[in-house]
Amino acid sequence: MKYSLAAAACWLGLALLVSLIPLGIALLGPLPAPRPFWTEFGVGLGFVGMGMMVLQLVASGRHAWVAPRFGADVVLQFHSRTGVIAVGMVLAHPSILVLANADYLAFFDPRVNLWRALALSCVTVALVGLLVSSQWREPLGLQYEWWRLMHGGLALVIVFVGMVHGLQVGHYLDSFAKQGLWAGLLLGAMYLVVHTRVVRPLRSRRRPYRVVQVGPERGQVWSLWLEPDGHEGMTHRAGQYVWITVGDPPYKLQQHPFSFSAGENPKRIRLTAAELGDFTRTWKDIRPGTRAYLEGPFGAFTLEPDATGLVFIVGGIGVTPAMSMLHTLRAKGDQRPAQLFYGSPTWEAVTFREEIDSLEGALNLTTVYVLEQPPNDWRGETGLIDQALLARHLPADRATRNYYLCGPTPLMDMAEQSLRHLGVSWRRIYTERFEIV
Amino acid sequence: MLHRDLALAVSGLGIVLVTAALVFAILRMA
Repeated sequence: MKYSLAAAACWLGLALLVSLIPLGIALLGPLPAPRPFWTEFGVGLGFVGMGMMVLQLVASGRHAWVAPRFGADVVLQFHSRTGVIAVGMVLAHPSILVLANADYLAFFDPRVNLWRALALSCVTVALVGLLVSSQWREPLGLQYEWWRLMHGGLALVIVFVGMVHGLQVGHYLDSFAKQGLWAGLLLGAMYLVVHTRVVRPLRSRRRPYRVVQVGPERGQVWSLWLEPDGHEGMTHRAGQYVWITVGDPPYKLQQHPFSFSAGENPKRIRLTAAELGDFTRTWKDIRPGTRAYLEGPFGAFTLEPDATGLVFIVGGIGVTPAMSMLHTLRAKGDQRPAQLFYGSPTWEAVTFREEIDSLEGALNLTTVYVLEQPPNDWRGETGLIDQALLARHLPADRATRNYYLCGPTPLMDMAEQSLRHLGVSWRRIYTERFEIV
Repeated sequence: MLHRDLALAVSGLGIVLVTAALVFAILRMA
């Protein structure tokens, strides 16, 4: 199986090591005179907090070498959760120091050192801004593109000022060797950001795509068909996703992630999106011939050979990666039994309904549609997908099947928990959460 | 990979790191 406890433990161990690098550097060589417990604890949290901030730059950058078996979705979830702890630790650093000894307030006093006070005050505000804007982006009405730019900018400022602050204070970084290691860590962290925000977009600029077709689907959903323009295209696996920029150069803000929704064909790619955001609302206006840039593929939400059958549990537009997998199963002649649980508000809004009908004829596939507002003559399942419904339909070999979950957060949480209660191992449950921020 | 398992792993990581800062402080305190 792709997931294993050993692999998870290894990646967690690596995350721990990265987080402890600043503390490790501080403890190298001869150490300064000891100070009271709370002062040292506050300083210790500052070092660990900076390590965790550096870890965020590793985890948030969609680097293909970071936990590839778990995929970018899990890594980004890891980032969003550890990021909160990192911000908490960095904010605890000055708070504990000031509570332990009010003299430390001088670090924020512009009369003592104007630039230091300004930098540290800005970082404190940036930390709070980073936390609030990430946890409550939608209630705050922040557009995704602006949030993304702000998020990267604030994180960079925090890491840069935090690392320079460590050098300036110099209590534990008092030798040239330690300062060199510290600067190396700072440069490495900065390079990761530059790689994500500049190097990779520039690379994707050399491999443009053309929009060849734009078409409506059921449920206020649009599909874009793309073909490579002067290159061999992108080799990807069904269930993966790409970041796309349409029209503008690739380093513009408008870069968004979307799943492939057709088979594994590098020469002709289909991406499908619901009209949910400012960007996807413009899809219907995109003209064939428009240039687009793709970055990817990303994700480990992929078909594996180790299962006796496959179960897809999807809601709304979450059907897209499942469609890609079903098309691929058909192309490969894979006749393993497959079940598709598909939650939709109405029968008319069931995206790809006709395609699923045709796939049912070619595959060993059964579909269970679950409608919130069914038509009068509906004989199928109604309401929301829940544990009782899954228990009614899942087959006897449920423990050896692989499960693919994609949809709104409540559906994902329910399905994960229900499958565990129904005796399915976590190693067989693949998830793709598109509502992270 | 489950959301709940990831949450547990992240909580564990946080606890270990705060403990590391605590051990640092105990070893270094006057």
